[in-house]
Amino acid sequence: MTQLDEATRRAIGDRIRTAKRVAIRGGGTKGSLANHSGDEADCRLEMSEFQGVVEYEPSEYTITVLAGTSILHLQQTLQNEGQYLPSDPLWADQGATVGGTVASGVSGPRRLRYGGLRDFILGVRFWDGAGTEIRGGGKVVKNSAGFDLPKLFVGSFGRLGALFEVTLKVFPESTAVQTLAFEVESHADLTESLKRLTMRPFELDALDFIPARGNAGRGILYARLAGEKEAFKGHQDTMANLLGRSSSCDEVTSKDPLYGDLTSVGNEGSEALLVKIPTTLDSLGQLLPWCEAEGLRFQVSVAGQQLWLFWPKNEPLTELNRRLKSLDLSAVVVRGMKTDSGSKGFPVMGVMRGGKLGAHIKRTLDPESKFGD
Amino acid sequence: MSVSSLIAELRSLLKDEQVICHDGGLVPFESDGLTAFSVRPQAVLVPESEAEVQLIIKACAKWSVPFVARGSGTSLSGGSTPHAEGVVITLNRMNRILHLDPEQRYAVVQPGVINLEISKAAAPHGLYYAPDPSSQQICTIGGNVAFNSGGAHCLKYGMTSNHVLGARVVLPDGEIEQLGGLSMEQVGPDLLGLFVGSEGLLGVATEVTVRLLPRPEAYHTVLAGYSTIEAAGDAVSKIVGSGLLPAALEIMDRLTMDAATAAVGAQYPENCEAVLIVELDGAADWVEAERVRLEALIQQSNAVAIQVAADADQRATIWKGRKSAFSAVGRLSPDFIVQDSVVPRTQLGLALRKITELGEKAGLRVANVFHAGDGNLHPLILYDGTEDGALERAEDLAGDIVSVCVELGGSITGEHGVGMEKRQFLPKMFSHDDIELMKSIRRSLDPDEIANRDKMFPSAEAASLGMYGLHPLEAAGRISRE
Repeated sequence: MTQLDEATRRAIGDRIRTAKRVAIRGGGTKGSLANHSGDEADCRLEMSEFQGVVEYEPSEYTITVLAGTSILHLQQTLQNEGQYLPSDPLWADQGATVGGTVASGVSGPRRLRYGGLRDFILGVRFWDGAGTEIRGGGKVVKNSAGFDLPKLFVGSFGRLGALFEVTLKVFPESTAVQTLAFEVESHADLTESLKRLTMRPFELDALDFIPARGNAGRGILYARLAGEKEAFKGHQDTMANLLGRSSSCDEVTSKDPLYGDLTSVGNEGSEALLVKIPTTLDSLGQLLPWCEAEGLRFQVSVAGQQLWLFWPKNEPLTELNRRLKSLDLSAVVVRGMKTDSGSKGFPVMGVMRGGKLGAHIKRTLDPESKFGD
Repeated sequence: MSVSSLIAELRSLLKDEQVICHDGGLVPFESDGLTAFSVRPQAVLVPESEAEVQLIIKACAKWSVPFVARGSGTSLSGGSTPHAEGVVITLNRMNRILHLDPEQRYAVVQPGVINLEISKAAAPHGLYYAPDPSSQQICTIGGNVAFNSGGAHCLKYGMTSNHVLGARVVLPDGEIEQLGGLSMEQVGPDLLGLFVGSEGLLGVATEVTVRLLPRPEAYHTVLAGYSTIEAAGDAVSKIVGSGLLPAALEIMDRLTMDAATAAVGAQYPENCEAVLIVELDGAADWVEAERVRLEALIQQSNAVAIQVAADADQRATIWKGRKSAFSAVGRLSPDFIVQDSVVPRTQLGLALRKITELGEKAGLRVANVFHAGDGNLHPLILYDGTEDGALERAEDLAGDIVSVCVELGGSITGEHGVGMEKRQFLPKMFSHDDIELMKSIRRSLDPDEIANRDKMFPSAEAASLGMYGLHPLEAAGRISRE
């Protein structure tokens, strides 16, 4: 078990206190969100220096790690005890860190079942803009004392402070999984299928749609089951009845190969920016025809609550921004922007909510904007 | 600060019956579910729309008059206790379900809507609203949001915060803000997450968008009796360690069982000192598969008696006994204090032993009923307020119990909030810097601290103390506590 000793914490706090601009860097997997470029900053925090498990008691369903701990290490530690983080963090194999995952607010396909990162973060420790060390939340699975600062840090893009310790709630992981694949004919068919499947109490672990290349209307809807394998067949039959079609499916195993396709989103280092757009079935119904008309690639995740859009790097974002605003949606470019764009290229688009409250909080935690605007 | 100027201004803007200043109209608002505190407000204001909430709060800001928003007043931490120099904004008339979208599984509701009414409205579509505080028949969604209310099914489903997608709120300066939206995902810092559970210090929610879940097709509810409370605790460890994730895991001790029997006629197996309630829910075939595993675990757990709910009525009977526990304790003692501390699950046995020892030392009976799955204890300290010094001994004992739980790595509150009652304990969990930062966030929005003044943070100002006993609505059987 690791701890960040008091002398180190104080020394870093002092560096932040006297700095003008603080650059925080984790694994670099979501470079679009970097708060400053390295050149702009007079204080650089390489979070990879702060790695390790601080506390882990599997029977408590909680784990505390230093923020620079890699997601891969976290996952392996949990797997050894038959547990997992249900928010399903992405890009573990590329070096994503716990702190970066919290700051980006990104959750993966399996967040469908029990909730996203905001639902599984219990405690944080961080330095604010004055270099003061602050603790928010707690280390037990249930706690309602004080303001919920841990949630505030989810999606904060590193602009509110530098996280150095995170406590997460974890759950037991199912040993049996199976992914069913249903062919989908059109966007209307997709949204109707999502409606039907989400109106019933299936224990679905993930429900994602990947369009066929070259034909955005058609594609495969993947429904992942995890848990009681005796019930898989019954679930499969009920879903087939609801959708009026049968599925192909992989074997019941502890690691299903189809699931890998769902989490590799944005991995290919392509010519596209990876844009996260929170959606509903209605807004999806409005966005998808446009994506098809524009020839844009996308992936629908979390039963239609999250759209991953691949936006061509050579196209200005203005048109996307306009479209999002007209649909009352917001979005963030998670990957693909130059990592040195820093504060000049803040990648949030569309309608931004909570601006007044957000501004008050920013002024309180980081009045000199050391962590970026 | 000028309350009279505020009232004069509001009288010119609102209807007469919306500005209540006579004693008869103020008395019902003096206390909430924590009857220990009783304070008469200067006025009670009854808005009927978001615009009226906004004009009231703007006027409060202008005249620097403290306000507390209130729904049904079921807070167990004194969260909606009025301020003696302030006003109460009661939101009960804003009680409409504005929109319910079954296909997208959300509902937009006003803050005065009663928790259970959402599930009732969603039921024809096979949906429900998951958070279920025991007071769900009367508590309002605005209060649930302010205090991030829990319930018996938090282990699997989480708390209020996990089921709120968005909210329109009036900040303490009267500005209106939309937080969150309709999607389960969002972009940017989770301001909605910060707002939920902020105990009314960051503003008043005027519209709340909640997520609806498909109603479970099946339940499997088991009540198992054990000869000791430790044995019941061991069973919880076994179940949790097996990888099963029950919707609820609750323990009641003998004293609580006796109270529930006296109050609602609940029947429990004899010769057991504790009962464990375990509930599985979900799709029928899924629950069936889990049932087989659960039964094997309970068989191995040295249970002295096992009752399985055969139908919905028997399930309701098991839950009635559990959910009436707090009010039921009123049958055993004229007064009682409810605590809400949390301990790491592995420390449950130790915490309960220490609570028993502390109770014996103080010469007071303590009943234990708790959410064992998430380590959330609810010790009920029984005393007779007419006895000299009994209240003080009970309060000292409550403080000692909170201290023990924090020392074991837990929290001062799991789901009732800090409110008025646990303000002095906040420094047990947080440093001076932590608390100062929270206060700074509050003051950045509300420099005069008019929104729910004197709550959450330690304060020099003492509240008037009365008795800890049944709330009048509890005595009348209208409400119950978690």
